[in-house]
Amino acid sequence: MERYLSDPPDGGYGWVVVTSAFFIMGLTAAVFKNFGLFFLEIQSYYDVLNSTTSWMTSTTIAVFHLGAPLASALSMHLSQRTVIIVGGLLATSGMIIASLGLSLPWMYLSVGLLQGLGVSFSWIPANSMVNHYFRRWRPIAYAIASSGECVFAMGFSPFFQWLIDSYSWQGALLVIGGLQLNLCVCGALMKPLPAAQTSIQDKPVLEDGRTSKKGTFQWSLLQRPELLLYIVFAILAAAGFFIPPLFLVPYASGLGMEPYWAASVLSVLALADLLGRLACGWLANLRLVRNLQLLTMMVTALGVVLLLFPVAQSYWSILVFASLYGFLFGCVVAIHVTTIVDIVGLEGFDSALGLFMLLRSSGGFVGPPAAGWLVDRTHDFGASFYLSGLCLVLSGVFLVLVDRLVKKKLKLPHSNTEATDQPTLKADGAHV
Amino acid sequence: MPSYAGMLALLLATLPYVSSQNEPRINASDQEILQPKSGQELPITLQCNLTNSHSTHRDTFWMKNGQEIANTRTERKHTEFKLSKPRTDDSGEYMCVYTFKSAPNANASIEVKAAPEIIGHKRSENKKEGENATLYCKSVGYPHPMWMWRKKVGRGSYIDIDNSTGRFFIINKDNFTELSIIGLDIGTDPGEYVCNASNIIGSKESMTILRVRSHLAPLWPFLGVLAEIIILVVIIVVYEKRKRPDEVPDDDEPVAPVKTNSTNNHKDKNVRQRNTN
Repeated sequence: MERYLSDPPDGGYGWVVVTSAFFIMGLTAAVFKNFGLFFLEIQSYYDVLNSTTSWMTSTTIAVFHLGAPLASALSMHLSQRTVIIVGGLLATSGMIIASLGLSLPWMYLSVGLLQGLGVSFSWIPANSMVNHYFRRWRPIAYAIASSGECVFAMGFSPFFQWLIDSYSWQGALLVIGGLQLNLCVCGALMKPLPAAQTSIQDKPVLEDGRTSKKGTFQWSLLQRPELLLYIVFAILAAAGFFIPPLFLVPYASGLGMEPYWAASVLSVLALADLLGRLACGWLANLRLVRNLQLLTMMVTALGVVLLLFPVAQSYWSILVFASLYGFLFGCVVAIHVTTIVDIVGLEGFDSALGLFMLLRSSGGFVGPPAAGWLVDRTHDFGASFYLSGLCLVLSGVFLVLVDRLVKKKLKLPHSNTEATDQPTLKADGAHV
Repeated sequence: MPSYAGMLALLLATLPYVSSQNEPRINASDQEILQPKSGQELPITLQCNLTNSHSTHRDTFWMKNGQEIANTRTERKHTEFKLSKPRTDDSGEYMCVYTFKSAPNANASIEVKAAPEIIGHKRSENKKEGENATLYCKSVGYPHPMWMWRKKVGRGSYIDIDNSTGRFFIINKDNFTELSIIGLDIGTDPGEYVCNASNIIGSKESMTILRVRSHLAPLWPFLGVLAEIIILVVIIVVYEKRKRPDEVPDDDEPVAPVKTNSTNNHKDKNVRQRNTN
């Protein structure tokens, strides 16, 4: 049957792919989110400053983003399955080396470079697979997969703490490295799809079934204004995203909240994030509005909530605002990747995803220090929320522009993007 | 006529009488013993009364353990300090201090004693073999207690700490004690350690569990996870082989299941596909 050639399966084995992606996101992003639990132990073991240990995770973030286009390109040449398996091996080896507790440069190499590369090589192709395997159910499939990050993050917090208490931080890293080897198992489940549909000027189907799936990394996508503007949105949004989690606890402590209560706010935030991702995935699936319009609404709402955040002065009001923030954050995360398909189509998706991750990282790097500088100038933690809210509302403006451009493009006859989500007649004619 | 020596002797003889006339006398209440656990926390009042002051009295304040207590300054000669619900950490050495315009301060001290209570200690300490462990206990209560460390064996029986290996170091301060063990030995060191604080009123002890992890401890869960992964991979490979036993699982093979008698000819399959194109 040729249905795989022209349509994504949209179900069936796709749900296996979603489950696998769920675990992959959990074993990568959730591990990284909870790495802060190791900071004190590592810092006292090596007898260094706080900033030195946090540079380790900064290196992980940097390597993750720089490796994103590389992961995209490799998964186009080899296959997503291979790249994920390689990613799993890299991440595990990074953790094992880190658990040996060698000198500090080895820690940067293992936790920073190897883990960062492994996470990149696992996370990016997993995203890609989910988006390739679905069309109609894409938003909800992606939302379920990305909720893995939240579920695992919540579970890993007490689990990692227990591991550190029972086995010391080196033993804990060893066990976590072993767990990350499951990335290879998840990767093995990611059966590649056959050739994705191509445009009319087709590359000929080759002898052994290897076809235009072996694309090249399409740097030329950057020339498309709609993608470029979307990336500007992503940069501003990333700046807005990374600021609140860092400043929420100091803000609450500045109001006199005790550390235990401040930590409970973070837990509520994680739960709201999970609910937001699932709810918005389901909402996007109803297709009441275009993905881009939904995204614009959510981003603007998130910006407004953040601008109003400093109004919260008591524990309960902070809790309400934090839940709203978490929910809307989850909503935006759930759809901002699937929206890329609406902009560049499925065959350009992999390259665009790599570029997207690479370039938005600049926002993530500039945002927190800028907020920190602002807070120091104004002596008010609320200033950080004003800045992030402003960034997000501004990014929404770019989204509106992207939406206009994409709408204009749809009116052109030879559009081969999937922006309409309608099945189009393909060149090869054969159809289910 | 009395001599100079005689006059001097007379002067010297009366000097103590004169000076004792000028010394300020303070009536202070007696020492108190707190029983905070007995359930009836009776309020306690410490009193001082200045009788017989020679020079002009300025003001009065209270000190506890050498530090002035805030908001206790008055200009009265009779002063009181009230502890409405006295707890163990209210115990200590209290002093009422009188200051004068042109004379040194005078004071009287009242001891408020209580049996020690242990307020700070670790419930458990987990360390690896060969590392150093530090157990500590903090107390409140007055007078400052005597500290003793013991190890619990069996039920309710204790043994003193055996320092034949020279690895145990104890530091005792007023309200604080610390037991350091260097080079933990996984065979002999783990167990329940008890710090005992005792003073003339009573004694209290609290326990810390010391666990020593072996270097190889995390290997077991790691190997367990590895086993799980190997099992899963085997299952996946076997399952894929059963579905398409003739094909080597190759990443670029099309997923579309081709229902045919198994053939080893890849070319055939692709010919089939192209034909249906």
